[in-house]
Amino acid sequence: MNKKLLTLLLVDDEEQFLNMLANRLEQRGYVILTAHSGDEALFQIEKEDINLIILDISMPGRDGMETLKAIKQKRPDIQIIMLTGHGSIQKGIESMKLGASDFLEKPVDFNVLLESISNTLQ
Amino acid sequence: MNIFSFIKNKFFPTKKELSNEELDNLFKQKYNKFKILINANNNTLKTMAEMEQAFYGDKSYGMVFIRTHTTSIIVNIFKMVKNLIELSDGRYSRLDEKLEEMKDKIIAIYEKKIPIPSGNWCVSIDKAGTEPISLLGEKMTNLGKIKHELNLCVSPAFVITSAAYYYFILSNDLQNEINRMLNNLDPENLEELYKTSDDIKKIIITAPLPNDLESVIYKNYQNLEKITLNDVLVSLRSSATSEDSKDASFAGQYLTKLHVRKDDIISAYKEVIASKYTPRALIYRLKKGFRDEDIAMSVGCMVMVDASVSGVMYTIDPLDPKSDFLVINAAKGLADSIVDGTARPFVIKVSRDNPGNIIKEEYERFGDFEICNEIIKKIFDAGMALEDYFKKPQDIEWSLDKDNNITILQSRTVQEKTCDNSLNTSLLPENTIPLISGGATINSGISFGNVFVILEKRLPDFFPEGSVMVLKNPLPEFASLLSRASAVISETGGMAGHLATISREFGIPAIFGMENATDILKDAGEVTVDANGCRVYQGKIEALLAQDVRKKIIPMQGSPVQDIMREILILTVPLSLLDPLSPYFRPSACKTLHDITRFCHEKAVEEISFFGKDNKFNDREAKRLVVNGNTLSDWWVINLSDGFKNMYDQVFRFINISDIVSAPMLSLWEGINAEPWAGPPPIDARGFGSILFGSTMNPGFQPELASSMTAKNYFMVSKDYCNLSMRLGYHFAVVESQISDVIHDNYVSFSFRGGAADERRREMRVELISDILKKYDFRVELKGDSLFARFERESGDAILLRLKMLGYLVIHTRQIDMVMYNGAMVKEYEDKLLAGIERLLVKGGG
Repeated sequence: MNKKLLTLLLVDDEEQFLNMLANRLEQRGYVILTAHSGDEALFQIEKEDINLIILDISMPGRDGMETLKAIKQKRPDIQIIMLTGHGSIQKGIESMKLGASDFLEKPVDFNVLLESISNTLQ
Repeated sequence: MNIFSFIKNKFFPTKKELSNEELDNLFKQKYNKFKILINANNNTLKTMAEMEQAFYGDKSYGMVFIRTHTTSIIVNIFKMVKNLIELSDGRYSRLDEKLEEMKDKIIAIYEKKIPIPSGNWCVSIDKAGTEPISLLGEKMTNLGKIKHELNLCVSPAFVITSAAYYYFILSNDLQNEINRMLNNLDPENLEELYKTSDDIKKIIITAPLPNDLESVIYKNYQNLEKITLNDVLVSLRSSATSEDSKDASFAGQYLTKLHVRKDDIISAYKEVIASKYTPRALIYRLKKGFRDEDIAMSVGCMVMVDASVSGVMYTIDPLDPKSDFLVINAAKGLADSIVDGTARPFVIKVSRDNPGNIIKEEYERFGDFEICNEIIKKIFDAGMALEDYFKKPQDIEWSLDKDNNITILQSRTVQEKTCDNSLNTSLLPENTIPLISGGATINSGISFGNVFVILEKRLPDFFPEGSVMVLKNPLPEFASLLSRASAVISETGGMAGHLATISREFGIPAIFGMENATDILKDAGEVTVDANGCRVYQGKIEALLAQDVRKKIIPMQGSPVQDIMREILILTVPLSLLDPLSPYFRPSACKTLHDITRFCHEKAVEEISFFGKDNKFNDREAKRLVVNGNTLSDWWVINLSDGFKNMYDQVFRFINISDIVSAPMLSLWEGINAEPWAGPPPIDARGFGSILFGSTMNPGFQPELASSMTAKNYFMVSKDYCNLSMRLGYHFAVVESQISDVIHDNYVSFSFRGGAADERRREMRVELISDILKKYDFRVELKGDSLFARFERESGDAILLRLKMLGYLVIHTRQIDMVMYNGAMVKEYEDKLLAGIERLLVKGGG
């Protein structure tokens, strides 16, 4: 699989963080799509071919856990990494049980995130 | 079907017969799971090492650190368990329950709540000695006891208890708001710290006190009026509770309001409560390991003493605890100028064995100030009575009224931490003249940094880490910056000030009473502070710094946060699954998260290496490596896809090195096989001692297990890829590498952990390996005795060269942790290893 063709969807309601992350990941050769809410993310997976989603937990409206559930129901094949500033041991385990591939807490070391992405996509 | 195969199929059903292609696909899936598991294994061990390092280190950590690390460990073990269960077709599904059980235990530790005390909102000091300390706080409980059981005067007073505190906070629903603000706080950002502090204080001060609580407070005040006089002035003093504060003084952390009039009692009460959130108190709790909920603010409301002289007395000398002297600090009026450091108190020392032996400090400012020996004896007697009563050296605040009657305002145990046990002297470097000298040692030690002068009372907006803080007055407020300072110098103040106490508690060299310091040092730039000799020198003077013999201080010792960390680590780190061949090596025997990790790792390697044999699939069977006609018992190779020559007959149980086409493996092997291992290094007596008694961090390594642990090492290879899992002696190592046409995707990674020697020696070994790897441009992370290194995005040749050197390293660093007892030895081995690698690379044309 050629890395350059991999498409990542970033879902976070914090615009600034989303842009920063999108920039840095684009530089690493990924195709980046963004969504500001869970609903937007669900819409995106219908029309785009997405390999991996990086999903924030605390978002207004449909939160990350709900979104994770909904995406896994529709597209169990898409890998999802949860990335959150409001984590807890319970949420970590719950996410994994719902099918997340990893659970990382903000602020995340960019190298750790990259490693998680490449491990998840191997 | 003949009868035998019928019976066999009926009673021992085999899996559906799969074609070779199906088996190969199945293997690929399993190998993917294996890789995820190995990655998760590395993450887990790395995170565990970070937690251990934090626990044993001298830096503070908070609940957020514990939560994020614990979550990461549990999430990664979840990945391991899930993938192992899938790898093994459900064989180890009991691990699921085991992990669930441990997760619940850890969450229970993390979330353990302190019960909210129940009791009266106000308690008279006359009854204070009999109420629980969780209701009144230590300060007021002790005063209650003193009043009740000793023939010493204590001001009329009552306590507004912690029950009242919770009633006030909870009835206004303030705690959730406070928690939210604290959760978002980055304490390293001073501006944010001050703002959050102001915000929290504001919501407390503007919140209304419930009417019923207010009337109880006034009723108690009226009782004070009855036994003294109408409209009597009072002081409001914090008497904060904390579960266990034997290693934390909390000196000057909270507000004391003096001369409070009747009408101002309620607002003063709220101000004292709000002082739980001053920057210094927030930082102090964080650095010392107390959570917000560990502290409840009880407040003492005491009738003011009309004091002519006041002071602070220590029944042992905090600067020289082994000496025979009780130390009295005295000043005119109230003691607040002593504790906030604005005055330089008059110091009197009295011999405990021979109270007639009195040493009064000669100090010209005190010309008209005289305390006669008779009164000194009175103060001394009170101090000794308090020490006898509490059975520990005391730190006592006292006042004398016009008739020289002594009143006790506070008595608490002198914290061991706030004593300087190393009254050191330092030799003056030759030909060096100090910029300034004078004042008194408040905490000994020698350090250096850039001068940062603070002239105002206000906290500065920034304070560079490692600066020398130079103050006009050592106000307690500055404690919020103390843990960032390398030394503190002040023009006023003495050893009894709050900032003095805190500087001893954090082990920061301090000189107080150094006149004109702010002026003389303001442009000095980098200075060396010799707090032993009370001198400051220009620049960094190594000869002096070398004489600094301060002991490492663990600020969080004995704190609630440290307790939580310890409890979690006990369920996380110790390894009891030692021997994979033992019948107890099974899920039900896992006692810690490390056990689960270890079990998953071992069984995953087993699953992958037995896949070929179990499925009668020769292509993916582990083959013994044959080199120069010798069959090696400890080196095995599994072909992941195209790692062997096409003509190799997969039926064989052996593979000759010449039949392997995996470039990464061949390079790695070249390094492994280059020179025979010199054997275990000669171990000195100390080496043995450290093996026998050390290894608390690594209890899993016991010499008698050496044989089973030297067992099998597996290469898993394809043409462009190699993974080597090794267990050599007592350490684990994993090398993984991939090379391809896309330079971007090339990498070699190396992780290394363990050893049999004590922690320090194992660390020295990984430091040595790290040094060597860095010389070859690896990015290296060291966590305790674990090393993680990576070299990537380089040409295939560059990767192969590094594989050779790694092969050499893993063989020749075996057991050398045993002899890593000093820098010279490390250097000797490092030189030897580097020379060997050079030989290898030159020979190989690298």
